[in-house]
Amino acid sequence: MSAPRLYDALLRLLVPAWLRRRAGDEMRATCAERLAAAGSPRERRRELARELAGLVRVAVLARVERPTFTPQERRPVLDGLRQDLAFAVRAARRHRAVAALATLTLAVGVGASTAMYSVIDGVLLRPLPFERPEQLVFVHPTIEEWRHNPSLQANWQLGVFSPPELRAWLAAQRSFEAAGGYTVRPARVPNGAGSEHIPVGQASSGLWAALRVRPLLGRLPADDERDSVAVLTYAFWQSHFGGDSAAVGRDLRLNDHRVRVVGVLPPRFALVGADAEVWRPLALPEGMRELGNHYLRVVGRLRDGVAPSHAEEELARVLRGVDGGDAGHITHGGHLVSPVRQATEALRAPLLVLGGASLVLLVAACANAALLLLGAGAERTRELAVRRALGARKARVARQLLVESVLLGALGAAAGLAVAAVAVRLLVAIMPEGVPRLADVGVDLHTFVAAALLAAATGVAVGCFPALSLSRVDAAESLRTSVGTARGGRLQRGIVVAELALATVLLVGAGLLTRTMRELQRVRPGFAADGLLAVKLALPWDRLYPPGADPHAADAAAAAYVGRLTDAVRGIPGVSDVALTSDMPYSSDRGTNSVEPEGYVPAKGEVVDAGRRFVSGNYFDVMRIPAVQGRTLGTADDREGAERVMVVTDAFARHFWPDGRWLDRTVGFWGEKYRVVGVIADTREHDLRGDEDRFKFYVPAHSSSDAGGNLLLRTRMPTGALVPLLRERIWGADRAIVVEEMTPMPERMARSLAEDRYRTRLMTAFSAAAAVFSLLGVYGVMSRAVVRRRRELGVRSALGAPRRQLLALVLGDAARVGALGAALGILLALGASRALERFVWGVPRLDPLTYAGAAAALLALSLAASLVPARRAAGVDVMRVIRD
Amino acid sequence: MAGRAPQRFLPLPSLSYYVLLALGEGAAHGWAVIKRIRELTDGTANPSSGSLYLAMVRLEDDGLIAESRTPDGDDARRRYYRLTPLGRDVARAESERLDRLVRRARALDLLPAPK
Repeated sequence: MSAPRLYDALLRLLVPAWLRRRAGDEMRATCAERLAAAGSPRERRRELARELAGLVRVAVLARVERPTFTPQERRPVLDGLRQDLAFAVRAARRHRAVAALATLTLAVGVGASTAMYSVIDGVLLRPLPFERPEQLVFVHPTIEEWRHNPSLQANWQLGVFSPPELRAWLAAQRSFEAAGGYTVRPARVPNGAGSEHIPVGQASSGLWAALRVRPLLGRLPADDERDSVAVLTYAFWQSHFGGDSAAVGRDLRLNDHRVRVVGVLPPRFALVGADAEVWRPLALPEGMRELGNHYLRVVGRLRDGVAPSHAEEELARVLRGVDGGDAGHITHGGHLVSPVRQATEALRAPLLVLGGASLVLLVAACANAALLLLGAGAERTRELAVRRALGARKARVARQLLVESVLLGALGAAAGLAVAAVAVRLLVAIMPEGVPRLADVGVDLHTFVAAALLAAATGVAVGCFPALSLSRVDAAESLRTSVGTARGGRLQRGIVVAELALATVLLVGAGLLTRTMRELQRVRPGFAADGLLAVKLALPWDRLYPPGADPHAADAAAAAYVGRLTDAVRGIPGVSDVALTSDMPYSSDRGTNSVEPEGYVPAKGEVVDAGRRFVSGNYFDVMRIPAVQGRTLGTADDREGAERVMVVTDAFARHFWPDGRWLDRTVGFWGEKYRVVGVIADTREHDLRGDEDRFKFYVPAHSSSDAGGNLLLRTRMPTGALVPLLRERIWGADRAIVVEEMTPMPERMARSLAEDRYRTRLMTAFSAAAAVFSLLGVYGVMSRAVVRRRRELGVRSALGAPRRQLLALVLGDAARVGALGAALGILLALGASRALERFVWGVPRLDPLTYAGAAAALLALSLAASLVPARRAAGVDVMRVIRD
Repeated sequence: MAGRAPQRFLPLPSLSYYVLLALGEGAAHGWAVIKRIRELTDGTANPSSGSLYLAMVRLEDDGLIAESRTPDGDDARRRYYRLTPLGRDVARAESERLDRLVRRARALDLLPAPK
């Protein structure tokens, strides 16, 4: 670069505009004179260096010591801006369709991604509503034994405390400012004709200290108050006491116990994963009792400056010593995790995948807006050339273009905010049940600002292109010719290809998820779900097993109680039979046991574990599960004193007895031996993916408490008619029974797919939007290409090219663009689909059919989008072209 | 007008003072000003065009210098600057201030007496 040009470039780059305007030319001239006056090349170089350094110095000084605009200069700039804005509005009106489409596109992109990330922020990222939430952690023992147990290993680092462990650790630990243990259990409260369950938490007072909770009313319970007092959450206080401040001091009945309300918690109290409505003090059993009973979760507030690793070591040390170093004790280490992360771990991957997809959509939206604006800009070359010819300065015209683009970007962002507000509600409404912290999710302004900035940046970037080409295009030249330049076409094509590629990626994702969904819906569960009604009850165990009762007598009484209950339900006309199970299908119930199959020698370190279901004798009849070998259970097996028998699944039998000789072999479990009488096919009773335990066995429940509350009804009656009758019969048997759920089995199964459905729906919506964007994009680019090539097309037509050939010319072009975009998209999708790996089921992640389908769809779409331009091309009128 | 008192501008940045001195010899454009400043200071000051014009723009804003008619026979495209009466007063005030300093330095034996 020559010295003057270097000087000029640096001048433009560094020196503020006001100074440049006033003295830029003089500075350039002076610099040139100085360089010209230099005696030797060496001196010239020195002088140039001095001049350039001077520019840097001026760049700083001119900004530091004086406002950019002196008062006299401010006016024209502002006036100019106002003029530009007015002009931009007029331009937008003139190109109404383009402006509306660009705005809409940006609105969809900004809205969808803002909504998605607002949900992600609300669920995954926002800290807990407590003071200094970054100090709060969940404290977990790590349970070495769980590590080798297939059904428990997922949680081996997230163990929970047993009462003696908690007591020992609370007394010994020094790493935490405060810490407390808690557990949440349902408790029965009277409700009209029957009873309802509310979750009741029990917490040691350290929990309140750790969370730094101050009560809204009254006080918090103390540790030594045991069962007699309770504090209400704000929501429960509102719903059950109408927000009456006289509630403090009143009594509340929980499981037949009378407790005194001593306080109300503040409205913002929300401990994720502990949705208790009422909290009571935690009463821990004395001494070393319940050493092996792990059920207490712990939250602590780390002292400032204490490293989590130090706290973990301390916890491990205390736990190892808790029982005097008894080698049989299973708790070995410690582990800390942040509360938010802990409660939302399972949701992280599913939500982030959708967040990523929405981001792809936003980029596609920006690309599409860019295309639309570029197209409009290209058509305006003449208009701009006229303005230039009339004396408008380059910078002025460029600025006007920028103002226009930014205006559109701003409109798009504003509309995007409206879209986001609606979309957030929609996203929350169709979210599967059980997602924590959804109630407070609203449009996250940070996210919105980020998305809006991206939209505005798109505007600026797009505005720059016409502005740049403007400085190169000769005004006179573009006035003389009515044909636009071919140069702009390449950029636009590039963007269309990118857009198509992004749409392909989303389409592949949607395709994989849709096929997964279809496969899941096709799964045969191995039983007859139609006509089955699942009734989940909570029986009053505290009454059936009162403290201090003789266990055998209580068992017998409980069995009789359950018998009366099932008889009452069975007596309803239209109910043909009622079965009981310990594990309600498609729920979180999941019992497992270690087993000792006869003759099976476990490999070293192998934990022989299997899914265990206690079922009533008629379970297989009601579920309509046939035996593939031997027999299923019968009511005779389910009597007190009957022989201990069991039924196993095919996988169980094959694994433990590969020789096929399973009949009459025994399986030891819980210290008893059970004779195998039959084999059933592998069923999907826990979830349709079949992620449940590989091996399952069924043992008679002896009509007892093990299967107590889960009723399966075989019926022809519509659920709506049956439910009131059922309630009547159940509460007729005992008003203390809580009816938790009555759902037809097919509905339960469908609900177990709620998360898959949610994901599939969103991905489909995103990909549909991206497909529409690319449709618009291809249409726009092809239309403009036809306009640009009008002369050529006219000449061809005049020289006798048939209509078909002209059509093919345009369509071939579109096919090339479409193929390129689809190919690029497939390449991207091959990598991107890795993010979907864990959600795809029943189809391979690299399923060729899905990829080919997406590519074909995009190709077809680009052809369809260019049909109209192609017809226009074929109809070009030679005479008109020549006249123009 | 009190606000326009020359003292208000003191002490003057050295580059501004040089510019005023250079223009004291008559109207000039940028390159000529630089050459005069080099001469005035025996080459110890050699401002870049950027620094020079930043200083001149400010002096112009403050009314110490003004654009002048291009002298006949010179390059008509260049801008020439001249001292305003206020500029002349400020240059004089700054010179007096410096003179007082020099006399003080001499009294302290920090400067030999003039020959």
